[in-house]
Amino acid sequence: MFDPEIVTLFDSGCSMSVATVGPDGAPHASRGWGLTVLPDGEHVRLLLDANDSVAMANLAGGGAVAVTGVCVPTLKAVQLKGEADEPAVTSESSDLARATRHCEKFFADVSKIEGTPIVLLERLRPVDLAACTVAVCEVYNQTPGPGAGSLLGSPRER
Amino acid sequence: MSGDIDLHDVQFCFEGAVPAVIASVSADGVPNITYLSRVRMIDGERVALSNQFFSKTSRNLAENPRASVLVVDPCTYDQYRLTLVYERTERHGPTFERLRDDVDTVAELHGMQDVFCLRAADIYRVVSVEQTVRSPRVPPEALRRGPAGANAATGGRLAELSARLSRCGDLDTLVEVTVGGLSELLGYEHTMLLLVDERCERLYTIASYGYDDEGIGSEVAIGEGMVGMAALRCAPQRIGNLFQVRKYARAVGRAFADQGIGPGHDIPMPLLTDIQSRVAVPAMALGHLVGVLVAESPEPVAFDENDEATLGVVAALVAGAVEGERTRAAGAAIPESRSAPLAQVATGRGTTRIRHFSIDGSTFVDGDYLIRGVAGRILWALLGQYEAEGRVEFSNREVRLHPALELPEFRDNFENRLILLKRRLVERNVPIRIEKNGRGRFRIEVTTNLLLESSD
Repeated sequence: MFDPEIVTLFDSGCSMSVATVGPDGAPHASRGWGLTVLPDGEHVRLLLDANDSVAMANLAGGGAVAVTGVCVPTLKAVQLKGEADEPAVTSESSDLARATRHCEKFFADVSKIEGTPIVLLERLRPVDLAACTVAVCEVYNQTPGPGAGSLLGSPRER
Repeated sequence: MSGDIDLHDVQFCFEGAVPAVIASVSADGVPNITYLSRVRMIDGERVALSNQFFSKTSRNLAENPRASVLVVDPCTYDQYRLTLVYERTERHGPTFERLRDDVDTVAELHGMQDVFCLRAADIYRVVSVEQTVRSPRVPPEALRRGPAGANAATGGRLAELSARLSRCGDLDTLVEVTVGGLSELLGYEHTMLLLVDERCERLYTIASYGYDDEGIGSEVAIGEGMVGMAALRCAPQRIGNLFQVRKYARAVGRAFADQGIGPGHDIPMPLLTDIQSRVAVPAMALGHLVGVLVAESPEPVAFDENDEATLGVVAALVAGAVEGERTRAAGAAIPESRSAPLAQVATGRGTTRIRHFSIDGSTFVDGDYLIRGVAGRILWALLGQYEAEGRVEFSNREVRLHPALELPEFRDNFENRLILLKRRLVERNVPIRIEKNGRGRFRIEVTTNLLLESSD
């Protein structure tokens, strides 16, 4: 099972970034727009920008993925690594609601702490969403400092 | 570099106001993604990343020298993806120094200089720049301003400020015209001018503009914080993301504390409570550091290289004038005081208690701290003669020889300290004033009864 703190972090509207890998081994950075820990405690449902064609192509047929979530007020951060299944464009109401909740919390935190106008942050919001399921293998501490990169564990070992 | 976007077009992204993200991949195909405190643009084809913690990224790049970086323009929130190829690592040189300044700024905020330091600067070639977000939904008026930059009018305004400075007859007027002119003519709404002390160890604020509290007499050690670093390195220092830097510093400080390494002291932050951007330029004359000129803004990424250049010109003018005044004062043959006028006896005006600590010159007025050091000693010496002899007029030359001042023989800064004292008395509304009444001469006006107490 995931540590409750990690579940809370990803539910808090954290700043979320996603790395995928191209067929030639090239990294590709993009943003995540919602992450929900599934009931089995080993998988998560990850929401991506459906118009990020490179990320979609990299995960076509499934692929390795890394997701880092950073708490905007504290910069406390974790990174999940695992294997994603093929993403599909989603219009499921639960996914749309999840992404909306994520954006509202994320934008509100950034605006409150850094004074950024919400209207500017809205430029980042994706028009279309894609969803995939990630089997999480490892969880890392990613908070800036000497402990960054240390392994926190695997959901399957807990 | 492929694509239509030039790296210079996205230069604001590299001010660090919005954290960047870097993705890398290990040799066996496992991706890694982490946040970066700062990406620096080196030239039109290269960027540098600071390497102090991200060891997994470093290991990946040793195996697979490609990276994907997301950066955001803090003024428009346009997002760009940079495709990078690792080129080399530098451990000295100008790029390393600039990144080290960034890291040092973070470290100094929480006294972590001994444990949080730049290990290397990783240099990457930018293969492509791709814009990922360009929403037409935001009206132009909602976009942030960004640095105004130099334009054709800047030169004319700078010339006008230069003319005004050249007409200043004394240092007091000069510092006032400097900070006032920077606002009126060049749009810098929050500025401070600091001068170097006699021992070249500290800077003290002699004038400021645009703050609730003028902070006259506030000090910073040379080498401490951004302002102190501008003095130490005699080079401009600029930051446009102090919110992020503070947040990052707190996070790193907590992480060190978790490992049993206690945080150090907090460097007092500037007078603006919501400051986002600051630029500090050294004021130099004849190869000597005279002071530091500082501009601040509540806007992120408010300053750029043009501001460094503009403020650098003003700082040089001020430094030249300060040095000129110092030389003139040191060489002027001012006659000893004529029959110095005596004070009218101050009656029926209340009593002000002045307490002086000779050990460091600290001086308190009715229990409130006023000033310390040379300026405190000057005040004490003047008030002692005022009380004992009723004198109100003095010459700079006689006062600077007063043994209690402990002035060094070389570069004694007497005039600067006298101006500092004068401005501090006004700022704190003390019923004692200092007014110039001729070249190398001044008078004090005391509108209170004095109770002088010395604590040796």
